[in-house]
Amino acid sequence: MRKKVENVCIIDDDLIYQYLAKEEIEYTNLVGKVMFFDDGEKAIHFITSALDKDDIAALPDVIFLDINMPIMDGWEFLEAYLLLKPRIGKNIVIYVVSSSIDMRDLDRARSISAVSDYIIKPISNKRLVSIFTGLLG
Amino acid sequence: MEAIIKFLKSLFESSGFMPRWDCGKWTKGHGWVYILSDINIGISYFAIPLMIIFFIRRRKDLPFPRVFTLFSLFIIFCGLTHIVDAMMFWLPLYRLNAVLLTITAIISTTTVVVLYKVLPKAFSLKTPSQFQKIIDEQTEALRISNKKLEESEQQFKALINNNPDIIMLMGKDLEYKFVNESIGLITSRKIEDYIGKKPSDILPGQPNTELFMQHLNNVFETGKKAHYEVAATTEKKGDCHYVIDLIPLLDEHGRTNNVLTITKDITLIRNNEMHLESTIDRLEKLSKRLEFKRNVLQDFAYIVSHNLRSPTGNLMSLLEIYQRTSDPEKRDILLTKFFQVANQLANTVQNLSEVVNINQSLEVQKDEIRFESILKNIITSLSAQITLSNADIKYNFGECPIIHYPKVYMESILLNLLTNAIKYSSPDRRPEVVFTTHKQENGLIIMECEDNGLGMDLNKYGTKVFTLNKTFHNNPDARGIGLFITKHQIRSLGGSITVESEPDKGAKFIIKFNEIEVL
Repeated sequence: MRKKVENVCIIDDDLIYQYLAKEEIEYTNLVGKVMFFDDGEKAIHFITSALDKDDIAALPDVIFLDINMPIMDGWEFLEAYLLLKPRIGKNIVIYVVSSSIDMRDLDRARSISAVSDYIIKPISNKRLVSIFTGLLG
Repeated sequence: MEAIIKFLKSLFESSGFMPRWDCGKWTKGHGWVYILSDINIGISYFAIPLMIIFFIRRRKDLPFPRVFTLFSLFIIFCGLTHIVDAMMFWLPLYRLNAVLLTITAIISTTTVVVLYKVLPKAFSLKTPSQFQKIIDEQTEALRISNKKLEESEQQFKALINNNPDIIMLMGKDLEYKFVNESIGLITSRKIEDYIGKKPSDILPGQPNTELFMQHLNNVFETGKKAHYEVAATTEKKGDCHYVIDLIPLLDEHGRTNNVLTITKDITLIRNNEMHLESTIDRLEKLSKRLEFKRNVLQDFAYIVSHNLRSPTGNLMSLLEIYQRTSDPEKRDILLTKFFQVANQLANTVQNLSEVVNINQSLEVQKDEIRFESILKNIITSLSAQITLSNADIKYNFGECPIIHYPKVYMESILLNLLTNAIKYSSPDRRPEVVFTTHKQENGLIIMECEDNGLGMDLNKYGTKVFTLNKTFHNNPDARGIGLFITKHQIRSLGGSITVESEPDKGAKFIIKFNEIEVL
């Protein structure tokens, strides 16, 4: 059996997008498990509790993060994540995924070191495959 | 001593002497020549002091008057000796003559001594020709300096008269003493018409004249300069703006005896300023409009990326997955989702068209509307919902009952605020909504709509309250449209809407209708 990216996390409030992302990720057949969060706060809660339980395996390998969300948006999530990062003994790859084509959003995302890249929605199957194969080395 | 007394007693006696005719061999001719010459000399010697005295009395400034007096005495006595000498031919008064000669000798010696003393001083006195020379020189110098003075006066006059400012000199009697030619720029009156008259004689009963007199009196009283601006309608130049300076001129005792007034025409400067101000005003309005347009464009860019691009992207993905899926059950699910997204997209487009309409109709017709009558209409149209929710709706428009605003927009705004308040009311208490208006001193009209409903956490939602398709409650009715439209309507007319809220306490929406006008 081929090696898989174990844990992929999607943070997005758009339910249709959640469904589509799941379909596309599963279609690559390169991912073990997909998690969903409606907003940044829920994701931060999850990561914090996993760290508290020392359950590093529960932490995602890749995060696809939307910018525009209620309660805690993508930027706020990144701020909170950077505070937690010293405690995370694992390399989590983060992609900002948004439908915004505003250059300011693009530049802002790329200026944050924890963000690997900025992907404009919709994310293609080809791109997903290249991301996952890249991670599997 | 006895000899002297004896001598003096016989002063007028001739005893012991012979008349001159009998002493010696006088011919008649020789004797008379002698006598007549003596008399002539004597009379002349009397006349000379008379003339000197006359001269002294006339010429008060004569130097050394004492010398003249001594000289007169000396000559008188000389005269006397000659007369007595003539008498000797008949009456030989040799004793008297000796006394007279003695006195004459004393006086003449004194005169010599005094003259000797006075001589150096007399030499230092200028002679009349010297004086004449000095006078001539000084007259020439005076003539030259007079000419120079004339020239500089001419230059000064040219300077004053060619100065575009109106320059006047006002005397203590408040009359014109001097007016320069520039007065001709604004009036057909001649300069001569002013001199010796008071301003109230020229332009009686005018507010500007009274103002000028007030300042003038004040400068005379206080001795301090005055400066003021005035608008005036002139005969030749029409409406003008002037700045007037009044400068006190002091006499040697430091008292103001004249006042110089300088009236400068600043109409052009004022007009330029006004022009500049109106240009700045227009630019400011333009920049506010641009700012507003920019905000609208930014909003649109946001809406396009979030409310149009994401459903479109979703549709593309759905199609892609649909194409590669053969499982009919899954295809059904995909189709359902397809409809969902399509609906969402259609809604968004519908809302956007509405906003586009709002923004296009910047010059929408405004009416004098009463808050109360609009709200009453809304309450009537929402009566079913209000009854169902048992909401208590209050209002107080007493402070500002009327506004100049598009009626349709006001209806839409009040409808949205009221439906929102009822929709997001708390199930734990009777809904209460209060509308109030007030007007600030600068003319800003503010309306507040306060409810006791669910409220919201502004820390989390603050920036998103008025965006499209954002809802903060799991309310099935919530579509997140109302506030978005409301905000655009208010903003298109230069206003703003903000919200204060705490979860489960309620929300207060604050609308400033005419912010752009009072900025």
